[in-house]
Formats: sequence, structure tokens, C-alpha cells
Amino acid sequence: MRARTYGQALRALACGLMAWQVWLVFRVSAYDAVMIDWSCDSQGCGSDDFASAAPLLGGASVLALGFLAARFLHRATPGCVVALAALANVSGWREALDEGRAAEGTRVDWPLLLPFGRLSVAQWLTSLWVITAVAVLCAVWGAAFSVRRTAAVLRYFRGRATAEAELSGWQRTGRGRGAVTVRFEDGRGVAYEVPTVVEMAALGRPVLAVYDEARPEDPATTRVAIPRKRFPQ
Amino acid sequence: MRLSGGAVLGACVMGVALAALVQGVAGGALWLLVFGITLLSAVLAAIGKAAEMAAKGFAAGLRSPARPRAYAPALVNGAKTVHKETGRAVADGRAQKRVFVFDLTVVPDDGVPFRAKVAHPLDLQGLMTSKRAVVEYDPRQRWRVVLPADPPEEWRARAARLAFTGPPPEPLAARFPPGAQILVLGLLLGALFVVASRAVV
Repeated sequence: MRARTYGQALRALACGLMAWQVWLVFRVSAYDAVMIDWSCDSQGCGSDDFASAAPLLGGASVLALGFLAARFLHRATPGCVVALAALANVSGWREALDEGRAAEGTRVDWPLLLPFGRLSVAQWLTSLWVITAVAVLCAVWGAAFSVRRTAAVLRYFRGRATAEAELSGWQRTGRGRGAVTVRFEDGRGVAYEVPTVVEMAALGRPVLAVYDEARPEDPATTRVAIPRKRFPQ
Repeated sequence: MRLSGGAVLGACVMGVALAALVQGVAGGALWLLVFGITLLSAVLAAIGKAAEMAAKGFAAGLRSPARPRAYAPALVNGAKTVHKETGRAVADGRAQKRVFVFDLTVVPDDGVPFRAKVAHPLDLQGLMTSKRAVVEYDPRQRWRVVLPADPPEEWRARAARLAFTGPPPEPLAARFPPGAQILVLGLLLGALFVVASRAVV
């Protein structure tokens, strides 16, 4: 196994474990919510039950998952992790309803997470479905954005080759886009200069030329891909 | 095979994480499961990142001073500036997070030349312009090569006299992927901790 594949497999495994934790913690936070034994005084409320701190722990887990998964999900990461957390919470509520732990009108609260009001289970479920829908929309938009910027379809599904490239010249052609000349060398070391149109975000950072090996000089088949990480040049 | 202190510590952390995870899954407290998952994810992510960094093909550094090491003259096949984390070439040699990568053909005394890519944040020995270098390497693990900042004068002279012709040999690779020792030892320790805790209970 190549070292890069091995490294990616380990990082994907770490992501999977953290996703499991997000699911577990948010599910428990809903499933056990009505069973939490709160003790309140003038200083505030507290409880020894795991579920009382689960939303806070879940929030931290969502952040950790976001950091780990950004490597794979790019801009779809926030939408995906929020949707996962919301669905886990929905799953917990549904299971609590199915087992008769709570009724739809049962009012619950998490003083540690939301120190205001008491929402019913039905209201929580409605809110969570709205959050899930918004998160899924954000994930779809983020995925489309990243696929377009990194030219993933061309690179991985249409067999286009890539090479480190330099851009020169900038002539604005539209909102945030401009015509440039991309200079790159193909696998045999032959240099090409091809006119193309790029986003302004491609300027001042390392980019990749995505080209057809049969026609490296063809502007119609040459694109510029912008890697996810912006690193200094 | 000797293990470094860092590898033993990493394996212990992984063993504790695995044991906590198994205990949590097998009906233990939920916080134990969360603790195990968090710790194990951190260990796996760290090893994965180290492996991806190593995939760029840079030579590993030398280990403790007790390990055998030797000087050798080397021929500079090429030098470039790359980003430390991505390995991509960067144009500005003064940019942050960049390192120099020197592609070297090391010609040790035993006469079997080998190739190594050595990364360093500084252009030691002026290799961006020079064609000869002195390296320090582990004769038993030849993928461990460093560029000494101030090699002995005798070796500088030998490097200057180096006459090696022919194509550069293929780069050497480490026998095990990075962190493999931690993973294997961590699994064993985790199993040991689980068995021990079951025996005590």
C-alpha cells in the first residue's frame, strides 16, 4: 500500500470514529433528555447524568469532526456535520417517543446548552428537521462549489492529467473572473502556455493545470484547478 | 528493532484508547466510550498526517546519538523549495512554511551509492548553488539521512573530490510505513489492558 493511501485510510478511519461519536452523543442527548435529574439552586443548574452535558460534548465533537473531515469533504464539511448531528438528535427523539419515554407534548430543556424556555418534543423535532434541511442545502452547495473549483470531475472521472501551473496576465471578463495565460509542463517536460478563464481566487496562490494529455495546448480542454488549502507562495 | 520513546508513548496512548473503547462498547460507561473514541481518533489522525507527509519521499532524520552514523560525500542532483505540508513547489524561497528539498546521490565508503531527498528549512552548505555535499546517515537504515550544518573539513574535501558518474539510483524507502510500530504495539497493549481489566473485575 502506498504511504499516501495508508495515511488517507488512517485519517478516514479517524473521521469515521468521530462521526460515530457525534451520532452517539447527540442521540443520547435526546433519548435521555427527559430522564435527566436536574438540581437547581441560585447559582444555576447541574446534573450528574451524561445526557445533561451531551449537547456540549456533541458540539465539541462536531468541531473535531469538522477539522478531521475537511480534508475529504472540503466546503461541504459544515453542512454535512451539522446535518449528521441534527439527524442523530432526531433519531434519539423518535426512539424516545417510540419507547414511550416522552410524548410529543412533553417539555424538556437543556439549561447548559440553551438557558432559556422549555420546548416540547414536537417543537424540538420541527426545529431539528429545519436545521437538517438547511444543513443539507449548505452541504450540496459546498460540494458543488468544491467540485467546480478543484475540477474533480475532470481529474477523477475523465482522466485529465494535472501539472503545477503558473498564471500570468489578468483581464477582467466578468464578476470575479478574468482571462489569464496558464503556463505548465506536461509529463514529458514540454512547456505550454494556454489562455483560459479563472476565478480571481486563483491569483496569488499555487494552482494546477488540468489538461487533456492528447491536446495539452487546447484552451477548450484546459482548466485551472484551485487546491483546497491556500498556502503561501 | 528498537522503538523510540515517542513510539512507546504513542502506543501506550493508543492502547489506553482502544481499551476504553472496547470497555465502553461492551457495556461500560458511556463516557469511557467517548474518551476512547476521542483519543483513538486523535492518534489515528496524527499517524495519518505523518504518513501523508512521509509520502512526499523526504528522507527520515537520524535517531538517538547512540545509533550508528557515518559521514559520506554526496552529489546534488537537484534542489527546490517546497511547501512543508503539501510538498508542492513554491516560487518564493522566503515564504513561510517552506523547506528546501535536496535530491542527493550519496556515495558512502562501501561503494554502493543510494539516493535520498533531504528536506531542511535552511540552505545548509549552500546547496542551491553547489553540486557537492556532505551527509550524515545511518548505515543500517539508509533512508535516514541528514545534512550536517558544519561537517568536518576532511569530509568537505572528500566531497569536493567526489567523481560519480552515471544515472542517479532509485530513492530508498523506509521498511515500515510511519506509525506502523505504534499501531501494532498499540493494538497489543489495548488487548492486554482489556484482558487485564476483565481479569481484575
